[in-house]
Amino acid sequence: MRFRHLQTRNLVFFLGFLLVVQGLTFLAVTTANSRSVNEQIENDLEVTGRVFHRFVADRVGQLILSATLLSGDFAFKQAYADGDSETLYSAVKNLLENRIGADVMMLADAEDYSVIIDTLHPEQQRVEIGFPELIEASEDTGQPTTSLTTIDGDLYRIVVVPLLAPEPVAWIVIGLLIDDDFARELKELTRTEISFITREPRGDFVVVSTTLPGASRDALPDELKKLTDISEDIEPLTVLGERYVALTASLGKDVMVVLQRSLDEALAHFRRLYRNLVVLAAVSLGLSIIGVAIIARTITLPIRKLAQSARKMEGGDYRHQIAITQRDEIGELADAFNRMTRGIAAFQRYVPTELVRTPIAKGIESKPQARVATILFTDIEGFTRIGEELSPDRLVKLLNEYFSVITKPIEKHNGVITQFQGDAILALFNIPTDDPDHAANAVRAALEIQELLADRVFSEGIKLTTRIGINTGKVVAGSLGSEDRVNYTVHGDAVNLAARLEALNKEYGTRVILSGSTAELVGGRFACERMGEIVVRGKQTSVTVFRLVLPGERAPAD
Amino acid sequence: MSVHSVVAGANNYTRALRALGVGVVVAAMFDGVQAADLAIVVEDTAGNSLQDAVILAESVDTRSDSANAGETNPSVATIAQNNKQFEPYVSVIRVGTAVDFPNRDNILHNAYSFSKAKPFQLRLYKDKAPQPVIFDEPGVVILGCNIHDWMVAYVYVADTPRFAKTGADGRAILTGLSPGAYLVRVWHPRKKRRGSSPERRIRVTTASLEPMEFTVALKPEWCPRRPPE
Repeated sequence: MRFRHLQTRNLVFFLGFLLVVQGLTFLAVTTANSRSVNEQIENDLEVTGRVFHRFVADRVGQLILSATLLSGDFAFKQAYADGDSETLYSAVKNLLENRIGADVMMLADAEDYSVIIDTLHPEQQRVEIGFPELIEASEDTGQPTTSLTTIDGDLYRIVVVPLLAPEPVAWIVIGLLIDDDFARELKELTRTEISFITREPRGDFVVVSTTLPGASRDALPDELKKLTDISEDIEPLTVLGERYVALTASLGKDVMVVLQRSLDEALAHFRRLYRNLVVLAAVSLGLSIIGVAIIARTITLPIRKLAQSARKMEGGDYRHQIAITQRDEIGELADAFNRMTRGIAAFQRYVPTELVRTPIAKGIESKPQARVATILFTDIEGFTRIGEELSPDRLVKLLNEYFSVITKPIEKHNGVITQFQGDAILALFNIPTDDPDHAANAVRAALEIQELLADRVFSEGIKLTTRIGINTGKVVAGSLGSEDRVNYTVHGDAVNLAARLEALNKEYGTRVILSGSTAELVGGRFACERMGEIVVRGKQTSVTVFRLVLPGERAPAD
Repeated sequence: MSVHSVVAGANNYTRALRALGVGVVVAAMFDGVQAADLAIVVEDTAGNSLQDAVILAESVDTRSDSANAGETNPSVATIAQNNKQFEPYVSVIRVGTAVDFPNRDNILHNAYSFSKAKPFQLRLYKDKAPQPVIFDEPGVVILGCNIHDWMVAYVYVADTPRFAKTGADGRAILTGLSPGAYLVRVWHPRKKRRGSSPERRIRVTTASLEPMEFTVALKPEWCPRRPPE
């Protein structure tokens, strides 16, 4: 991914990191919570399982105790021995309702196990009892027997004891209905959902009693079928989308109990924690966004200013200073940058802007060039005398003043000053920057210099007069010097001639002298007067020279 | 006849019957037909000697029945309440026998039976029972005391004079079997209700009979037969 802005990149990376850290924290917290809740529930369920078995054992014990008391009840024995079936039924009802507090009672014949009394079916007489094996077991062991048995589709915990007179003369069956109320009572004790399930011969599960609400009750059998193993085992169980941890336990043949605790309910306690975590994450994220934005701005804004400043410098503006007051590394950088700019600005005065700008613009260092160019050479009239009169300080000050005046017209007309030599200046036109109208521009610069100096009074009331020689001809220009330091210099006879022409002013008493080649190029655009021909040293031909007519001077009479 | 006179006459009656018993044996010898004795051993399925097993020999042909028709047995028996237990645990008597229930403890006892052969109840009493109880129907009568759950006794009311009861060694002898065919049966209070009852046919021709062995499958007792310590 690429980011155009430092600020965006910082923001994205920092916030991304924050999000990842928060995400991992959240994940770790939820995983740990979920695991600990699961373990807690599993432990609770194990305890609940023991409590359940103990509770059931206690209830069975109570039932057996009641039944045993009944088995020795002499009045009941008498009623059994003497009474008719109606009397017996009445006696049984009395015991059931007033002494035992169970839900069903039966009396079976000791000989053939036929039912004598059945409180569920008072009208039935002498039918075979539904569970002879329980009576047989009691008879064979001499102990009360107990079992979970389905009677008329309802689940009962039944206990079988004999009616002793003093040998077993009949069998007493007492049953406790395992209904929703029973399950609810257990739930109050254990805070666990409890369901009693029977298995049909075809393998289907039937919920006989439960604390679960109706819809869950209906859905439970199918969910139980999904469990791999129905045994004393703890397994996750989902009923109607609600997650539970369930303990299943067999209570006998085809009867089992399911104890389940809601995982979602237990995790609900942690929801507030999760909500707080999310809020905390959002707040810290928001604060981070603001913080990162502020920090990024303290970096990017100064950097942008620095970049702007650097661009200005590239454009040749070395006076620009960055207004950054920070005291950090950025401030240091800006400070260094400002100092560098000032340094360059100072240095720039020694280097012709065009000389630098051109190679910068071309992206390369200038190669030596050979071409036709116009050379302008100036010198101050009587400078030696002035130099003798002034102190060096004042002289330098005067010269600086002077140069800053005459430099402007030259640069204005695309001239490049390559050398300051004492009070002299060497300026080039059409090299290194192309200028098709170089000769005319050089003349214009010369005219302006003369105009400026005519009105100008320098410090200490000094007036200066400049002599100028202009020549157009072939020159070779390029950077000369060592690796560290180069000078842009120009060579050729044309340069020497320009210097000659400048000096010629002294002889003619003129200010500006042009060579014939220059005069030819400006062709009548400026007023010139032919002065004669001079012989150039080392050359066979002579050169025609012209005086440039300055404003206010008398034009030559043709 | 008043109840008191029956009880009062019981001792004399016993003495007379003993003399009469001797007379029967003598009579049999004089009859020229030798009466035989049958030795019987009863064990439970674990091989332990079984005490209090009742042995009965029922005549299955008229000849032996008629030959024994004149036999009589003692017609008064005693089941005492001693140390909060019935003694003896098992009694075998002939139909029509009167049983006396003396209370030898210094507390009150009750005696009851809801058995079809003889339902009765003697309300709480001390020393002597108000009256002896006459067992006039054959069958097993189970006795209890309504204030002591562990007290139990069995009265086997036989309609044959040929019976015996095993001792601690599991042995009993049926005496005076005249020649003929008999069904020998064994009964015990703890005999399992289900499964065939041990019984065997026997023909008596000579005086010497091979001893018979019976094995009885037992069921557990519902009540402890000892009083709580």
